[in-house]
Amino acid sequence: MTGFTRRLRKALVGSPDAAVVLLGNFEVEEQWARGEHTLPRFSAAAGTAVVNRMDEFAMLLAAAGDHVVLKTAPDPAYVDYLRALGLELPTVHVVSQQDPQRTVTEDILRDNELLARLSTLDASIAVHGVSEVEEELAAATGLTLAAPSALVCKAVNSKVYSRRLADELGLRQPDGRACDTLEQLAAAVEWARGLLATGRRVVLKEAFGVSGKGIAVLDSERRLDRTYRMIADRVHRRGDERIAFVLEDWVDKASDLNYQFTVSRDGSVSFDFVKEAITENGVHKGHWMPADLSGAHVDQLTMCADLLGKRLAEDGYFGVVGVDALTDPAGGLYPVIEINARNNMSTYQVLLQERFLGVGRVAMARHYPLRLAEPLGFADAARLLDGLLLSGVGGSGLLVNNFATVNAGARAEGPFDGRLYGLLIADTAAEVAVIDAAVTARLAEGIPS
Amino acid sequence: MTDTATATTVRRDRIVAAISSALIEILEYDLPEITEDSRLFDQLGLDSTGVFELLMRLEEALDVEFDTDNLEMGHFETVRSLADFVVSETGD
Repeated sequence: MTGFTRRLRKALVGSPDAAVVLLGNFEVEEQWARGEHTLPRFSAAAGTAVVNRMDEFAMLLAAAGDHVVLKTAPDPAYVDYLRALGLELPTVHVVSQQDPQRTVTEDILRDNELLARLSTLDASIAVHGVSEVEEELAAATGLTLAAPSALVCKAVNSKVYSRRLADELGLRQPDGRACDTLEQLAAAVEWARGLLATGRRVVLKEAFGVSGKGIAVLDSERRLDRTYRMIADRVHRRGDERIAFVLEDWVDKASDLNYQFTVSRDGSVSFDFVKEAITENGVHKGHWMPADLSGAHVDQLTMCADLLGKRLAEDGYFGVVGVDALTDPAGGLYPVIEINARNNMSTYQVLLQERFLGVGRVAMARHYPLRLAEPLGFADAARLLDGLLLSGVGGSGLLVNNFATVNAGARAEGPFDGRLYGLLIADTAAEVAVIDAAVTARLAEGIPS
Repeated sequence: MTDTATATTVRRDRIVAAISSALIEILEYDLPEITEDSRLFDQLGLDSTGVFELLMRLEEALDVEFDTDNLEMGHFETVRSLADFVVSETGD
């Protein structure tokens, strides 16, 4: 097992060699947001189907003795490809019936045979993020959930918690207000009027939003008031006064950063990495690694990670923590924009980085949006990308790190949208750009939609 | 065509035009030609944050307030489905 694999198991279970059952239940925020007052939120059913197939990323966090449960069996040609790269693969279990709109955990809970099989394993359950559904799974299998309770996980993921914690620790963050009552939100709206009057914009965020959902950037009093009324109307209709929103100054940024640290059961904190995010319209598209940051910024983030990690440990949390941060155009740092006390997309890339990204090399993690007329097998995709796929340590090319998302949106008839996730690895950023352009062109030419 | 039918068509045309112009402003790039069949998410590239702004802009352009509890994802499938929703929300 490699460095991060051992460190993660030590943090979650207490032993670096412990076997785990890994689940990639992405967008666990959807579970945390249940019962909360939200902004009107919409996501395409096809988008949900793709997110739920991010479960396949879990294969790349596993060691040989681990188990992974997936919604469908991985494409055999994709498995051969990963093996040829020299990756250790876990034992894969597949649910008997998957529903594209359900997370992998929800599928397992409806599969009694699989539940029985899992209950015989000598392993703890290690999940992407913990909600009550994952706690139900632990109870149904009798296996230990290698994580704090869903209550703790949800609490420390709230953007209200994050704002208050950053204030308490004296960490720089955009001006703003954390609101857990309608009265506080009304006061925050009055405060925001002042900002709007000076020509600035404000952003209202749901405490449990994810991937650009539950966020409204507001540039006029009319919209600020309308948004407040939407929330107030919902609160009055449902009679539950408890809300969770933050209202903040929308600060200018030079770059989005994401750093990760791991909090161990004993409260010790280890800094894992910092990456520069590539986002479009607030939606995460990928990362540059390593991030193009000064040593001073990296030192600052490492110090913040230590402060945040120790405080999270005091509040009962252990496990992976990803923090979103910003640099501003003047070169300053906002070290805490949001705390995600769960795995992040980047968590599933660490083992690949350790193996394929030697010193001085660079990688860009991204996804390619696809529109397909019919499902695409990995063997055909590999033929299409012949000469562009990474073939081993020291090489350059695209390392496909999830193939399930390509065909996740397939319907009985008609074209559908999918995503091909991968890491572009090379010696220089310029070489990455060349490979990226070649992959984009081949996909555009080779896939009739 | 009766006067009522003509009025309905005019109103619907105005709504479709408001949707198109809001999308052009939100997405800030040269869109493929927008028709009633254009799919907002996977063809035009609208995202969750954009949907919220689209609602705000439509409310302002048409001087209405939607009952957001009535909104469903299906309403945002295409320009046509959104126009149908707006017609039903703004009907006499």
